[in-house]
Amino acid sequence: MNIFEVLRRAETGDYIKEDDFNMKLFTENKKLVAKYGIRCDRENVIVDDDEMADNLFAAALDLCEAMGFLCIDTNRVIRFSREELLLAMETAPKEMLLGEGKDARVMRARRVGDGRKMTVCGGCPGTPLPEELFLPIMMSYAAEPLLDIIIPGSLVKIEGMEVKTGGPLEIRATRQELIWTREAFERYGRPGTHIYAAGESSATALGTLAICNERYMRTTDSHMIPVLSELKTDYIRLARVMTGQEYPAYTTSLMDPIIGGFAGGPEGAAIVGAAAILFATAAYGVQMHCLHAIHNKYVAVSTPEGMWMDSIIGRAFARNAPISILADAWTMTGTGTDELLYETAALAIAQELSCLHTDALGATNGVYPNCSGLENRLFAEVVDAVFHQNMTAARGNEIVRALVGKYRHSFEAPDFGLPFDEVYDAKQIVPLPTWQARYDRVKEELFGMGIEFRF
Amino acid sequence: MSGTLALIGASLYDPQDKSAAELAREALEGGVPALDIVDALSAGITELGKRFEDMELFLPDLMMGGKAMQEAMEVLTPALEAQAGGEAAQKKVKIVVGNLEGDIHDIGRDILATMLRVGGIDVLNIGNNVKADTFIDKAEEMGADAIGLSSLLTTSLPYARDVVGLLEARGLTGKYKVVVGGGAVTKEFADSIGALYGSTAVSAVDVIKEACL
Ligand code: B12
Repeated sequence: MNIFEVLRRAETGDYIKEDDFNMKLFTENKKLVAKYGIRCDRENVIVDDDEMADNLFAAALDLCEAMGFLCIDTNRVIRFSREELLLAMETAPKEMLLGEGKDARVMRARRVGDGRKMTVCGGCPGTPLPEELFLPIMMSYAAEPLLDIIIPGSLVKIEGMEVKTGGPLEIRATRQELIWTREAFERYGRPGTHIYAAGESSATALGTLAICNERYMRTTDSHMIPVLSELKTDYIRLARVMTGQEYPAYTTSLMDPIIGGFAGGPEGAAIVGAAAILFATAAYGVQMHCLHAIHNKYVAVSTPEGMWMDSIIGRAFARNAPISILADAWTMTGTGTDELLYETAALAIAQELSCLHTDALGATNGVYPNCSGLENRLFAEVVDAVFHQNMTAARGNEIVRALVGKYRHSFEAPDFGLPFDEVYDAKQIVPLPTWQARYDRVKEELFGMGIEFRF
Repeated sequence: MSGTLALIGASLYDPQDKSAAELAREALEGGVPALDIVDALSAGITELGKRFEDMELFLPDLMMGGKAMQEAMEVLTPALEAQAGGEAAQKKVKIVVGNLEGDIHDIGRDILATMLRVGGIDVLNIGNNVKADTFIDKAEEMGADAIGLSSLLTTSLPYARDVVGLLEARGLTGKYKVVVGGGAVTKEFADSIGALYGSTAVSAVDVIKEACL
């Protein structure tokens, strides 16, 4: 649908107060969970129940019809008919080339059993990084050949001055992030690698507008347009739609259904997440989606509820309306710990077997700069193994269960690990022997659990 | 009678035909001591919190239960005050909470506001994207004891420093306790601006009460 029609509806749709919209969503969604019999299985987070996946898709369409997409700046509901939503899904690209030249990678809408493995995004989504570590950390990702595309962290200081949301330094910071990310790519001979969600860290329209130039975000990169939780949007988000269309770069949505919030439990959050994908496709015209399950107590996606929610959404779309969905892979713990590697492996298995792609590891839930290339390497290696050994959902569930057992204690008392420069030689960009040894040991253990690494 | 009390408590997490306030009024009129009703409500709200943590109930349930508790407390206040000899039984802590400029992550702040209310604190929830100076204006208007600043964006944290700086500039340092929290905030950051810190909404209740009472 064209943006002008979306804006028109945002000005003329039916009026509702945001609080009333939230409560209506809660009640409507509760009914749909019951009507469609959606049920979260915390022991088997990889969903292979086709009927339930199809029911989820049907429930999401019902929810879209009942609620509409609220623009909070106008308090008007942007409505789409079922047919408009399905048409938008049908016409969204099923395959695209992200990045340039030899470094470009294909991103596909996955289907169940299509014989293709996921596209792996590496990096540390939006994580605040100190100025002096930004380039070395991005180099640690660029150094990993299995990472197909990369998402940058965010700069919170420039020349020692704090970047303020909406302040002038936001422009400088978003530009500098991309300059350094590209610099990291160049040093490893992959200058054409796609930057996913460029300017992610910019909270206002300033950052997005500032990077629309070949020196920063190229037209072969992408930027991110969030859906406000739950099923809402505003002028800042719609301004990004406008920017993306006219520049034009690729665009990806971001939806963070909150498990335990207005959507209800994991079942309700799954319906809301799927509905958000339908709305973002129709209203934002994005080509990809970034799906981020939020556990209202632990945040992390590595919770059984988070992995299940992503999984059923992945399967629902793969069967009913294929589109590229990148799931966030956020962990409780940080780099330098065994637990981070277990969380990484569990997420990699669950996402690969759920027809999803990944939007990179957010160690410590993206709060501390305790992240590195090595755990991203492990993620990609596990994905590769799971794919090539034709792992079944049942086997995947067994291994994920065992892994959750190994990191479950981290939900209450996470070990945030160490900052990058204490696990990597920040000049040579290689893991320090202690971190390398830990990774080697855990990988050995994972192999023993049935993950047949090819390298 | 214990059945009545149990029902009052349960009505917070399992809504009945009558609201907690109505049930409390009936019990009071029936001669149940106000303090016993408060105990029943406290037990109910604790159970609500537990069910929320265990994901049996969700944010809207928490908000509705918190509101029901507040309304029931309003019914009980005159009786409680009379018991305390005509004086307010206890000083009620007042706080202004909002998200720092540029930040619209409101889920955590809404949970915070609900938990604080449930904990017996008067809350003025001023929403998202609030300018540093506005926090102070609202605190002055409300006659607050504390200002709660929430931020999930690291780039909005400098505005917390601004609040502290503006308090000083306006000659109000020490008048309000400043409390910070939200995903982007660490204990170290709070210390660096001389503010209190609450890592979760639940822990924030004690932190704020301890500082203000
Ligand atoms: C959900 C979410 C969103 C949703 C918000 C929906 C909503 N209505 O709130 C949406 C999609 C809109 C969104 C948008 C953006 N987000 Co966001 N988002 C998140 C996410 C995934 C979860 C936040 C959450 O709700 N947590 C659950 C709640 C319950 O936890 P909580 O808020 O911490 O609150 C608890 C306690 O902290 C405490 N508490 C809260 N406030 C206070 C205050 C006081 C005084 C006290 C004592 C306690 C307290 O009580 C709560 C209960 O215990 C975080 C990731 C994370 N690590 O948190 C990113 C995150 C916060 N977002 C981030 C970013 C970058 C953005 C965007 C800029 C993305 C973009 N490119 O547009 C925009 C910015 C929007 C803006 N202007 O604010 C970054 C911030 C990086 C940083 N450190 O600066 C994070 C960390 C993710 C990341 N690394 O990329 N986001």
